[in-house]
Amino acid sequence: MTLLHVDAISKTYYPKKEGLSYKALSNFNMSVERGEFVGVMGPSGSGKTTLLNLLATIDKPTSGTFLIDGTDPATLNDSQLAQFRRRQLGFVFQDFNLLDTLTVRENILLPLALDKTSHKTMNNRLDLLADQLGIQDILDKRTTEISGGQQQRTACARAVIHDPKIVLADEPTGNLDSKSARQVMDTMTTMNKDEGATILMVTHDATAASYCDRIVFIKDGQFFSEIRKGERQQTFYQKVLDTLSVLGGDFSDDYKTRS
Amino acid sequence: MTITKLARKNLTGHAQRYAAYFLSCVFAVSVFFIYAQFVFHPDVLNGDIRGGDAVRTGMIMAQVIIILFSIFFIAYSNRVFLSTRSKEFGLLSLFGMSKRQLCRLVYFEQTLISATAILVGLGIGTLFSKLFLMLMSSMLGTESPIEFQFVLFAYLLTALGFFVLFQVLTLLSFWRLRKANIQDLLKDARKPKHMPKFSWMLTILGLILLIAGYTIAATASIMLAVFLIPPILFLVVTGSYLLFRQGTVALYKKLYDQPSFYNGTNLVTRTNILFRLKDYANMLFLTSTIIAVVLTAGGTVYLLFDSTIRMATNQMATTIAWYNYDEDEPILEKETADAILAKHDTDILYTIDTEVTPIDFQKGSLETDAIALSESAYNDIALDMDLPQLNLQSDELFVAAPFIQNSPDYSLKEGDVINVYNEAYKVYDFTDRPILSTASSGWIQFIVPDETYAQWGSVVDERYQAYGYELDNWKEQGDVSNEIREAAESGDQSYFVQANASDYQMVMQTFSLTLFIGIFVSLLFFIVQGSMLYLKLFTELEDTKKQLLSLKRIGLTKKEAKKILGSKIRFLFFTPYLVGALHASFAFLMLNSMLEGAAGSMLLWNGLLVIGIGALLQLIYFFITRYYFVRAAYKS
Repeated sequence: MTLLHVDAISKTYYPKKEGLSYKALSNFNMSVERGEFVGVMGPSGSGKTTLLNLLATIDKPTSGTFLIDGTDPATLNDSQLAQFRRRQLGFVFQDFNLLDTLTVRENILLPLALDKTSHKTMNNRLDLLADQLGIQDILDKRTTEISGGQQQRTACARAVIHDPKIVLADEPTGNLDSKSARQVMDTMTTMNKDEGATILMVTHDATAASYCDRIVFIKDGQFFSEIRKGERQQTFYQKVLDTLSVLGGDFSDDYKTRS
Repeated sequence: MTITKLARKNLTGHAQRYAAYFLSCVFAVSVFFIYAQFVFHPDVLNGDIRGGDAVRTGMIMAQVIIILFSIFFIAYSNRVFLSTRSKEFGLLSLFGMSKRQLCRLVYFEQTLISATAILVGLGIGTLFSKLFLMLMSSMLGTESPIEFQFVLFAYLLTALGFFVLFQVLTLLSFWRLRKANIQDLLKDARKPKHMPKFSWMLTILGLILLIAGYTIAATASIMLAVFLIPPILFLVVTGSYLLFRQGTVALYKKLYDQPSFYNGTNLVTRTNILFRLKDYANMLFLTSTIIAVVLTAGGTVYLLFDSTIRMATNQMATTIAWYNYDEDEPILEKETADAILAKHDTDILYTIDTEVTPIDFQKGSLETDAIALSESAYNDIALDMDLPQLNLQSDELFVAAPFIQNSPDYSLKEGDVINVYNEAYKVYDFTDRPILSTASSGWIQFIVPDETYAQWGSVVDERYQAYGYELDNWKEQGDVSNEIREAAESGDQSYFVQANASDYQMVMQTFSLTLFIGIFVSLLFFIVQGSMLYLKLFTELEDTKKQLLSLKRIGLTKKEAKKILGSKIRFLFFTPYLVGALHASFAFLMLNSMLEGAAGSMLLWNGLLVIGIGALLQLIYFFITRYYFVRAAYKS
């Protein structure tokens, strides 16, 4: 069943004063099935982040529409959008996006607290999730006391605590060393497999991408190609590297050194 | 790029960051200048205006307070401002800028800001001093307002004085800058790292000190009050300091256990404040102390003003009142007064022209004089004065004595028995509203049945003629009153003619100035404490923006964001106000016992009024700050 349906969206950035307008996305189509773990890859400036911002309803498309579980965010006003983001979407950011005045527990519970969920539901949900993601030990620590990998896993827990329709991840491993990156990807896999979370992840990192079920490649704001995971992750990883070299463009070298 | 250019770029590129600091400097400069403009105005210096000298002394005192406050305030703003930029200084040092160059950069920036602030301050000051001079003149009651002039000396004094002040403070800040090393600068020192700690011992100690101070203040007797003020100040100040440092943390940590903690935005608003409490404590303590001082001083000055006016006016029978003690040597002929009133075309509400007799009376061991008025004469007057009619028994008397409450040696109340010419009479009732002139023996007025009156009159065989005029709109009748008084002045007896309006005018003139200066200085302090809060808030702007962005990304409505910002600003503005108002309330209580209830109920209302006005001003400041802060936080 299709959860996310993107129908020919385009995004053009117009400069404020004068200069050339820039087409970040043009006529882009894709869809994500419920329970799928999809990666989006592409060289710098290919439109990955623009796509994610549009899906995150932080930005609005110039043309085209998309539906998340049957809802078109374009029909919602600002306040409804904020509520929509909070209830239907989960986010994982490159910079973790955690509040440093809160403990790990409080950070994770924040989306539920904002929605005034009952105390009991909150704690039940948190206990279960912390157990699954292996973060029980750090629940009462402050975000400044834990490592980057732990922070990102906290952010992952926050992204799924409220059972969102879809989790949008923007370079979740971008700020992490390879070991932490692997732990975070394991966490995301757990979220996907055990929690049944649908995940859309934008990444640069071929290793991280190899955890996905399917990868969509973008180039110059347009669909380039798509590959699916077969039996083994190692073969999939090789396939990703091959596609990337075909894709060319201004890729940072880090995916090569990160295996 | 040269250092000067960098300094200029910093200023123009980050105007918002400098705005609060700049505006507070401008404010200090312009207030100082407005006062200086008046103090050194040639008309005032030459003594051409009435009351100018007294005002001048008051203004010079205000001036000294403003200078002290400017030093303190600007030093504070300077420190807060530079500390928010420590990361930037760290970065510049890392790139190889020497301490010397860094100091030069700060020096150029500060000099540029202060020079601009002085210029703008003088400009605003010039505009407002025109207004201020007009206001002063109307209050002083001079016919022609003092002319607006460009007082060169005031300009020079303000410009030079503040320039030196800014330079000295900048140089002092170098010392701070030189001490810091790069790593400390780079580290965002303000970032909340650990859960703030507090000690139960100190919290309880603070509470005990505060309560002790309050208790002493509330129960202090008139004799000890003066000696008790220093220990009370010590107890209250230390107590509230400890409570701000420790108690607030204890209180906010308690909120963690509340079920409401995970309810909506509470999670964010409460932790936001908790993690900054240590940082806020000093400022909250300072602003609450300023508020307490302002409210107490304002309340006291206002009380003085109010009670003096009341004393001068309410305790008089009619607008004009006097006795003619001797028919052959009248103090003032009624016809003379009538003629003057007619000449001025004054509306007379009613007149009193009645006969009284002087008596001596005893109460216990006390013996003093009074005047007596017959019941029938009183009942006539009472109709005009809107007082109750009397029907006294033969051994009863009714007492009207406005000042007797103020003299502890005498007391007369309902049911007391007094002796007049060896006969006992019972006080039927007592009022502090006089019927006739209160001059000399008129300070106590007995109303007795007509037979008693006749009997008493036969003893001394002396009669006074009492006159009274109640004029329409009496506060405006100063000129008529003065003329009537002067007409009586033949025998240096003008004192015997009581004229409400003249007294009122005089008291208004002297006291309204005190009040005016008091209010102006209070207002200044008030704005200063508000500005400190404003400034503090804006130093957190970057952190706030970051947090809001984080929250917005995971879905926070604008309404909720406003709630988060609003609750913090509310905390900053109203916690010190509440504490300050509480301090002031106990100060009023103490003042009340010092005045021994003479001004009791008045004090309560005056105190409430002053606290209410202060709260309103703080509310206005809060709304302005919230508006600008929310706007700034939303601007990306």
